[in-house]
Amino acid sequence: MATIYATDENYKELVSEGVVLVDFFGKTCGPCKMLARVLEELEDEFPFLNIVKVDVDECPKTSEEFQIEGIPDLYYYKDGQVLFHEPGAVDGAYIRERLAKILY
Amino acid sequence: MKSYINSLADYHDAPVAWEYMLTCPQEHIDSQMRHLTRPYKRTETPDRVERGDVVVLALESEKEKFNRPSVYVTVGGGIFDRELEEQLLGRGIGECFEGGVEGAAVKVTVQKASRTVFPEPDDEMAAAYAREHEEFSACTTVESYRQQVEKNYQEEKRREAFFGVMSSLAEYVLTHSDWEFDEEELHSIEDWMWGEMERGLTEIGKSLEQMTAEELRGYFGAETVEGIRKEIRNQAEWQIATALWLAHENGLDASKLSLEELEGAGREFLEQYVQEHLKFR
Repeated sequence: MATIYATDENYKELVSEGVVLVDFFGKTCGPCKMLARVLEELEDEFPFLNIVKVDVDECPKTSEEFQIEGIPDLYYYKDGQVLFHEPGAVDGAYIRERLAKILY
Repeated sequence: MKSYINSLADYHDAPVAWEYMLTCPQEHIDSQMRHLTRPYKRTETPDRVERGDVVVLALESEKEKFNRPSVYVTVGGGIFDRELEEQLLGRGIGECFEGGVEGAAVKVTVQKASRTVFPEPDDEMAAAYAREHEEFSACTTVESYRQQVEKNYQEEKRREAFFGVMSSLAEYVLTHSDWEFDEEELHSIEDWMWGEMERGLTEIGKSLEQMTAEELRGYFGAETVEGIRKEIRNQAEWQIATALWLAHENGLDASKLSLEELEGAGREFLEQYVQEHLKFR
């Protein structure tokens, strides 16, 4: 699955199945752009990974529900349940460690 | 301030690396080139498995992790199992073999394989990327994009070296000196930090009592309230020690000034020293 941009309407459906990495981001946020590059590279390497991007300005309801105070903000889901939550721009190695635990 | 310096280490004595390479590695250029070619990438089915390919495996083993009817693995990705991933190199689709992981036998069947292929970058791709990305708006050819990538890399390395050395020198002084901390001053900073932390949590509708160990670690780097208190104590000591050191280096008498009054004491002496000694190749 390629990277998908969520809306307030389809968010819950997108995270309901499998392992999903959710990136809450803003268009003008510098650290969000850094994380976006990391996620692009992860998607190249692990194309079976589900990545959902949530623009906090476009998805106010979802952002409020998750009380997003700062961006980027990363959530790791497995079958609809949040397993990890990582605020801030984390590096690829750190995300890989998390994914290894969740995927396998 | 009532806290004072017993003995102060000299930052000139700190063992730090002063020379740094600015040569941009080919690996970095290649990964940055992928930003140009990513929209044009395609998937192929390989004859033989190579590093970077994605395979779907059926695994049979006594070990639970290696007993799955269907699992996606990126070969060489290192997040499933490096030992098994190495054994997949050169295998064909449909091939079945007896592998071994951590001393246990694993029957492996390669059910599917796919390879992501990036095309060679060209000027059209660079121009398209330039239109979408303001920071590369002037890079309308592959060559100009590559030059910008190298320039950005070198700037980043210069910045990293500068702040890395600054930080190492400060850490050397703070950890090799002997300080006498005044408990009242420490408590005052700790109380303020604790208050700020609680205020921040209230604003986002959380409280320490309700947070899981995982959340506490994510927010504060410590998994227990006791751990957070210890962390705050360390930060308070660090803050006072830094203020005393900077006061000394700036020729100020810390005993006659408050912590707030010392906040203006700068690090220009250190910046100048680092700038004069850093070397790049």
